[in-house]
Amino acid sequence: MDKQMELLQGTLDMLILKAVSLGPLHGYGVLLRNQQISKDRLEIQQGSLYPALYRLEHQGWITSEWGESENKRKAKYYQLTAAGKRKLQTEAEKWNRMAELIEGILGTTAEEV
Amino acid sequence: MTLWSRVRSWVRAVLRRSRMESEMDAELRFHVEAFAEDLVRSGVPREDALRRARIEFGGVERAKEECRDARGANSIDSLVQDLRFGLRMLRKNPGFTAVAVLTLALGMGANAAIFTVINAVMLRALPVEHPEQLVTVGDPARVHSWGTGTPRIDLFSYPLYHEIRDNNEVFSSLLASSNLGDVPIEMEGGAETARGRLVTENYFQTLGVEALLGRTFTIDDGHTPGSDPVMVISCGYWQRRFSGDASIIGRRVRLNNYPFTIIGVAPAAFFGEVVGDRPDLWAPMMMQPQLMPGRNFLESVNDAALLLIGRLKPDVTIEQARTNVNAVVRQALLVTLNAKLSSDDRRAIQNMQIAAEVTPGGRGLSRVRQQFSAPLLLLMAMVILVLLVACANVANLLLARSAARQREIAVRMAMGAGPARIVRQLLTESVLVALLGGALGLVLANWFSAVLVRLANANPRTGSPLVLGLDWRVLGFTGGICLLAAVVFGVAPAVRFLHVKPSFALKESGRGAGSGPKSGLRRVLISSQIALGVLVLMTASLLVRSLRNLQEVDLGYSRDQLLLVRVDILQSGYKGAAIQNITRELLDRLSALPGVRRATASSNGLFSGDESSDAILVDGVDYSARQSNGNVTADDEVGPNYFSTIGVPIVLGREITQQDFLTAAHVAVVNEAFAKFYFGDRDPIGHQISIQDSDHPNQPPYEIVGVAHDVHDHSVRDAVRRRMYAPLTSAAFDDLGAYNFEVRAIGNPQALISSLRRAIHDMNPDLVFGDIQTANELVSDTLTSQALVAELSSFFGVLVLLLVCVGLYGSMAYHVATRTREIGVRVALGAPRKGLIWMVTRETCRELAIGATLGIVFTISAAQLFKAMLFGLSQTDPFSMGTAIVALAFVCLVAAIVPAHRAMRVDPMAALRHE
Repeated sequence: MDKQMELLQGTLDMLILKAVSLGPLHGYGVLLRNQQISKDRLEIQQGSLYPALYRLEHQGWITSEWGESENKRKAKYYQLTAAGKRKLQTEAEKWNRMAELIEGILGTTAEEV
Repeated sequence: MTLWSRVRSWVRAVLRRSRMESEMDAELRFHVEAFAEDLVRSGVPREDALRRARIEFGGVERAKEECRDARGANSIDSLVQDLRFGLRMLRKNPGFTAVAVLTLALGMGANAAIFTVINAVMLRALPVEHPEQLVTVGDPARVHSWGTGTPRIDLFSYPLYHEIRDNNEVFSSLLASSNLGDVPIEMEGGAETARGRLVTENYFQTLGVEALLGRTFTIDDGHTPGSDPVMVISCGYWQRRFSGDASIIGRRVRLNNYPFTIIGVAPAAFFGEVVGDRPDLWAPMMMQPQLMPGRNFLESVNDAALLLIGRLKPDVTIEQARTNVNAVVRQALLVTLNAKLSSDDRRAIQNMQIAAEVTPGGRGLSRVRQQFSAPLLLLMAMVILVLLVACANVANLLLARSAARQREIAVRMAMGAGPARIVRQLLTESVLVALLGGALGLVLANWFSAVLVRLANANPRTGSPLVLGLDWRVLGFTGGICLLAAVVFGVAPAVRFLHVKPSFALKESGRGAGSGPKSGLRRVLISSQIALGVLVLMTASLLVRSLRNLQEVDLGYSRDQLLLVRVDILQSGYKGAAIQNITRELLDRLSALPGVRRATASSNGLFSGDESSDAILVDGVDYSARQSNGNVTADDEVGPNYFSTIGVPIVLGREITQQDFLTAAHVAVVNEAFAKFYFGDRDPIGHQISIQDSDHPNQPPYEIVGVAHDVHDHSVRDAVRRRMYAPLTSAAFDDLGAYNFEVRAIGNPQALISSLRRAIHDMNPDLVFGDIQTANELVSDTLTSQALVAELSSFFGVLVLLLVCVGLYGSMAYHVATRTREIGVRVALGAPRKGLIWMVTRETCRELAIGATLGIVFTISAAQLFKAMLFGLSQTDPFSMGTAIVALAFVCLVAAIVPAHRAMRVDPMAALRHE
């Protein structure tokens, strides 16, 4: 159970960072954008969204600012920092390398061993 | 980078908590509302949309909690929360809080007090520079001693000190000091006495002490004897006697009638090198002949009065120092100083093992340390036990109270608090109580340690009070106990909760179980309290009875109405034959006083601290079978009718009469131990004793004319030594020129004191004499440490009884309260009251039995450790055992029956409705 949560946390962070990298967003907006870019195939749990946002802010990858939403209501907007941008890049590279590695292992045929 | 942002975010979170909270609230609310809007847009009716959005979002509170966690500010938050809640709980239960805090304060205060004294006496280093480099040479307990005779190495003579100082390779400097005692000091204000210490000129420099005002001694202040009459006074004396007057430097005073100049004031924290002494002044050792006329010891190799303290050279170990010092001493005694020694002394030195004591000197010299070490440690052990009882008490109270809080805990767990959080909150409450108790305890400790020191110094002659102080050790120690107490009695109830299921607790109506883990813990606590109580009480009883035995021991003479005073005739200016004349005249005058039955004198007195011994040869005794010390006996020179004045029965022959005294006859009375050792069953009367003293060769022998009953003349506990008594006028043993006069009073001895003083003064106003005390007082002085331990242990015994009583009562009250419904049912069903009381108190009896047995076993085995303090009884003394058990049993039964009895009187209907 624990291990899965860990993976999920890492992925969640990446998804949030990616969503925010495309432009400042409030929490709900992150949810919507993620739905959009994953074409509704990946869902972020609402309950774990805000803890993740707070954690990312605590670690310095994103910053927050109060602003006005589309319907003139006060909302907190999150934005990627320079460090956050680098972090996103690093995470993406790691993810790709991992994917390659797994792919390589899974693609090994009997003769290659 | 992230570390900095983390810190910044954390700080922000802590400082702007409320704003963070409202912001978080707004943010989450916005989210839910936005989601609801979207739902409405997709066709869900408005009332439903908000509700569905909330449900889909999940637990808002939980999300908030996790956000707070992510911030990292949670730990501080929850700690503050716990503290606030804890304080509120304590305020709501003032009775419990008061009892718990007071209980702990008493336990911790007593501990801190005893530890403060232990710190001052045994542990603390001298307030000098780098005390860890200091080393003591000689026996550090002999701070007020002076020995005459064969050269010694537990105390040193001045010439021997000189040799060690000049020839050693291990010390960068070496000082010597000796007791000056109370010295008469005269200044413009009048004449009085001050307490002083004689020190070598490098004293302050070796210790690294700078003057507060003026200057201290330099190496130039000791050229020749009598050359530099300067002195340094202590800061306390300066404040007390001179009101801190800055013009004190250069002022002239007369010390023992010799002009001295005050050249400096020592720093405030400095009290010299002797723990337990607080001298008013320090005088250079080169002035000794002026300060103690007639007893010049600067040239004498036979007068040993000095203790030495040296500062080690860098990279020299104490073992190297020991080897080197002993080598130097050996060389000095066997070669350099050998010519000055008598042939007897030379022979004695050949046979002596030269092993001077060289020990770390950072904690200074102290006689108090030796006397009080064991008693203080014993008291410390007892006080720790008292504290444990106090902790058990509070633990029990908390345990009992927690039954009512079970529902509260269950609700918390249901709301999402983890068991760790709950335990932490309970621990916080315990820590709060412990801290409050500790703070109050420190206050009590201050007061209590002052009382302790005053008790230990019941006789002002035995030294000024110790320098007590709350240093980091004491605070750390008390803090450590606080924490220990908090953990001990906080964990007990807290651990329980990890087993309780919330749903179970919520359903239960709070009816406590009569048996089970909770009850087991409670019973263990009570049994251990009782065991510890028995331990303390029995120990106290043993010590009190030992003291009583010591005080009532038959010393061999009659203590009542006996007064003693020491007159220093030599110091008063008399010499040679004049001393004997004065003694005779004084005796006549004192005997003639109204209210005096008899008066006599002796060299060594009784319980005076003076002692002498000599090598002898007894004719008619076979020496081949004797051990090497078979020819040494203690001796004393006495005035006429000594034995009848003191009240010692003469067993055989006669005592020393006025005739013997006036004619300086060479006769002697020996004690029973002497007679038995040398003559067995034979009659010693008529035999001759010759003194083997090469300083006084060719003395005529002494004829034994009587045998006296054995007497405890110096210590209540020590075995009686072989002793011979010869007339003052005829004996030529090493004569100090100071005699102890013993006066038997008719009626109340206190009434005689002033007339005695006047008589001595009338004879010669210059006569120097000490305090006039009764024999009982002198004996009690030697029992000070024993009396202290007995008094305090009885106090602790009473304290423990009180604690056990209160603890048991409280615990019992709660326990009965939880069984009220059960009792109501039984009463309604017609159970007899007595049977119910028995049912409720039955457990207490069992705990009492177990606790008492354990306690007795502990005490008997623990008594092995302080067996040395017991006197006249064994560890298994049945009276002490009985007292302890009866006292505790009484207390327990009272504490148990009263609440049970009250419960019986409750109306059964009310009890049944009680929840």
